[in-house]
Amino acid sequence: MMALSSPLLKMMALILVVWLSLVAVLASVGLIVSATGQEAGTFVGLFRLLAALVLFAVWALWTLMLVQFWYLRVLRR
Amino acid sequence: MEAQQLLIVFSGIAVSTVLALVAVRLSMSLARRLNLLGRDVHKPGNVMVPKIGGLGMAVSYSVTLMLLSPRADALTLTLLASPVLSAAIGLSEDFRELNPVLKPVLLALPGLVVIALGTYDPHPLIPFVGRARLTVVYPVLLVVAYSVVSNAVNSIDVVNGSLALFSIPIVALSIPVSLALGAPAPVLVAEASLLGSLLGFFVYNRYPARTFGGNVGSNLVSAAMVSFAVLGGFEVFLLVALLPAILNEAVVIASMGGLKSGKEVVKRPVLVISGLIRDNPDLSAPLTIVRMLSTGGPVNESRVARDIGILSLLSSSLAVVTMLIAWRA
Repeated sequence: MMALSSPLLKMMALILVVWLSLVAVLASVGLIVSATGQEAGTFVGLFRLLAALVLFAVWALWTLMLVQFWYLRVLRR
Repeated sequence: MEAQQLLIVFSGIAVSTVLALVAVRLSMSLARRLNLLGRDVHKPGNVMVPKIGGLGMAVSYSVTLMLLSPRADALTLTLLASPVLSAAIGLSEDFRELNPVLKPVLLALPGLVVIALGTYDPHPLIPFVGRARLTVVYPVLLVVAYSVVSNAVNSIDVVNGSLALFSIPIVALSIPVSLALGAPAPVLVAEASLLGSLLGFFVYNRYPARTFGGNVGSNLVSAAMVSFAVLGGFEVFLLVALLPAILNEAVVIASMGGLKSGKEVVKRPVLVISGLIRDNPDLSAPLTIVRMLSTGGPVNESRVARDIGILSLLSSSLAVVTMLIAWRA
């Protein structure tokens, strides 16, 4: 059986961290938008949707920075 | 009923594997005749390989789906039309490179097929929340998803065997998820067809590759996976399973400063020395998953493909866990 390489293990750790954060963000986004069904077409519904999109965009940006950090400080060490 | 479903799945895998073994070989001959050859950049010298092996996969997937699908309804039509349209766009790109800005727009077209046929349910299953109601946003997200996933899967198809090794765990684990969620029978048939096609294709694409999948192959696989998730109601599963590819695509775009063709990239992410792949020491070169996996020193191509497969197996397993969490909500 082939041994797992160090970069692979570090990449697996990165995937785990991103997955945990993604599940948290998805749950938050889901909670924010879950009430929009009753408020469809209203300003409250629209703001809920915008808030969810902003949250997801912030998470995506954070993830990009995390990957850059992982490459420079974790993988290349 | 469950035994019958399992029988359909195993027959689908068997039929499509055999068909793919024949169809991919034929597509290799066609590629040679049309001079559709691509340089195998990770090999020393100037090794040229037929580049439309994915056309064979498209044939085996479509034929198996038509043969085994229980009925010719809107679901089956969606599972056939969306991936085949995406594959056709990829095939046109294999002949002539598309504008990098126009390409994502074209790759969104298969999403319009789903909307036109009305085969989606805008209530995705979300962890800790359950089924969310996204009647207005869902069609928009659907169209975007086809484009994003096509680019993401295409960005992972960079070393011999990586397309199949990345996709097989995702498609294989989507079958038990579909069974658990009670997905329609055509979805199960389509998943089995794609899994068998990938297995047959892998025989020719594993290191050292005798054919590449081409854009036709990666587009077929990506559009089929999105169609399964949408029609089977497990969108979150696919999002998590595709994490390595989506992260790869995002960092590639960010580190290149926008959507660019591969030919516009001056600095390569990795160097190839004596047939081994190593991380480019120039920090301004684009960041990719292959570059990250080669930071430990020179590695051979088959090991990089194996590592991509292991990452896919991990993310697909996490996707199953995510579905279990979502299901309990």
